[in-house]
Amino acid sequence: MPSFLVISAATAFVAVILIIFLFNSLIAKRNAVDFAFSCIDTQLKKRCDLIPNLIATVKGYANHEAGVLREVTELRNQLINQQSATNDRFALETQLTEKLPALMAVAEAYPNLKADQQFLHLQRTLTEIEEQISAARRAFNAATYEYNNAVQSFPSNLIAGTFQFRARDFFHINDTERQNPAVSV
Amino acid sequence: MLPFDLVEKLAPSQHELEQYRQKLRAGQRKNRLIIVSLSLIFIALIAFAYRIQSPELAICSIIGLCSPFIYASFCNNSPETLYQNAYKQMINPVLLQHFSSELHYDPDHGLPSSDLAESKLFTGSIDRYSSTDLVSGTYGKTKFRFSQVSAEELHKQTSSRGGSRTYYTIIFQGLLFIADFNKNFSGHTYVRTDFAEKHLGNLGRFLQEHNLSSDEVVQLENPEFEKAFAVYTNNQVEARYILTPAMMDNLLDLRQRCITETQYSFHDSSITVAIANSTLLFTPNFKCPATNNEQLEAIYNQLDFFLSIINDLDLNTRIWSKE
Repeated sequence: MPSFLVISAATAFVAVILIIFLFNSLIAKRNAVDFAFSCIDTQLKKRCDLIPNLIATVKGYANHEAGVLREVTELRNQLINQQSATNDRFALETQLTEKLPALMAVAEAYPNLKADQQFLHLQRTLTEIEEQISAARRAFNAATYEYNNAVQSFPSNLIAGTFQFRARDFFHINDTERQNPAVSV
Repeated sequence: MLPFDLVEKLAPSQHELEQYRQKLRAGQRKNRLIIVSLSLIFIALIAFAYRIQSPELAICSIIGLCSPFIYASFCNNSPETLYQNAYKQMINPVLLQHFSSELHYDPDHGLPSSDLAESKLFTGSIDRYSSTDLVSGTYGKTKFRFSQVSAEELHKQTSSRGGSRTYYTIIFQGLLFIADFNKNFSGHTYVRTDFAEKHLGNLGRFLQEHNLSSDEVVQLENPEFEKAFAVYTNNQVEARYILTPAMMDNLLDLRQRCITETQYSFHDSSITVAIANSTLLFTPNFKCPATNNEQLEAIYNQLDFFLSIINDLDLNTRIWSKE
C-alpha cells in the first residue's frame, strides 16, 4: 500500500512538472508572437510617419500628380486612427504598400525631383523601412509557426485547449508585394 | 586569367627576383655543404673521442655537431623566408593595384586576434595567434580588410602518474575577411557550420535551441541554408533583416565556391567571413622560378577570389539608409 502511494505521488509530481513546463512554454511562444507583431507595428508606424514628408517633397515638383498624392494621403489618414491588429488595418496597410511604388515612380517623370537630396534620402529611408517590415514579418511568421505547432501538437494541445490558447494567423503577403520594389538610387 | 599588360609590367621584377632566388639557393647549397662536411668531421671526432676514451672531446664534438641545427632553428631569416618576403613586397602590391588603386598590402602584419574573438564563430581561448598578409582598402563603395590567420588553444593534460604535458589545438586556420556591411545594425548574428543538426538531426536542433549561450537560434525559411548552417542571434528581427532570401543564397553560393568550411558573423554593421584553409596564401614557392607565370596567376586568382566576395555578397549595393 505505501509503495502504491509513493508511485502515485511520484506520477502526480511528474505530471504537475510537465503541465508547468508545457504551460510556460506556450506562454513564452505566445509572447514571442506578440513581440514579433509589435516589431511589425513599429515599422508600419515609421512608414506612416514618413509619408507626410514624402508627399510634401513630391508635391513641390509634381503637383500635377494629384491623384496618387491624394490616395496616399487618404490612406495614411485612415491608418493613423488604426491602432490594433485588426483585419481593416492590415487591408489598409496592404493598399498603402501597393500605392507607395506608384508614388516613387512619379520621380521618373520629373528629373528635378529624382535629383532632389531630400527625396533621395526619403527614398532610401522608405526602402530601409520596407526591408525592416519584411524582416519583422518573417520573424512574426516564424514565431507564429512555433506557437501554432505547440498549440496543435500532442501533448501541449491538451494544455492549450484547457487554458484557451488559440492558433494565430500568419501574416500573408499579396502578389504585388512579392515583386521587387521599383526603387532606383 | 592573368592580364597580359600585368605580365609585361611584372616581367622585370620577376627577373630581378629570379636572380635573387638563384643567389639565395646557391648560398643555401653552399651552407648545406659546409654543414654536412662539419657534421662528418664532428662525427669522426666523436668516434675518435670514444676510441681514446676522452669524454671532454666527445662533449665538445656533440655540441659542435648540434650547433648548426640549433642555429638554423632559431634563425628567422632562412633563404626561403627572405625570398618569399621579397616576392611579396615586389609582386603582390602590383597585383593588388591592378584591381584598384585604393588597395593596400602589408605582408608583415595582419588582423588583431580581437577581430576573430569578437566574431563569436569559434569557441575556446586564443592562446597562440599569428596573422600576416593584410590586404585593406575600399573596393567599390565597401571598406574591407582581410588577412591569413592562425589561432590555437593551449591544453594541459595531466597523466595518472602526476606528470603533465601541454599541446596546442587549432581553433581556426585560414583567411579572415571583414567588410563594411551595406545595412546598419546594432546586434550580433552569427552563422556557423551546422554540425549538430547534420549529424544528430532533430536531437541536434533541440541541443542548439537549448544551448547555454544567451543567443537564440534563428529558424530560417530556406531549407538548404538551414541544413548547412546554424544561425544564432540576440535579435530575431535584425537577423532576418540581414539574412534576406537573396543574402542566404549568396552565402550558400560563396560556401560552395570556397569548397572548405565557411562561416559568417555580423556585428557592428560589418560582416566577418572565416574561410578555413591550411595552405599558405599569396606566397611563392622557393623551389619554383620567380619567372613562372603559373605561380603568378595562382596568387592573382587568390586575390581576385577574395576581393570578389564583396560583389558576391552584393555589398556595394547601397539602396538603404547607410551610404
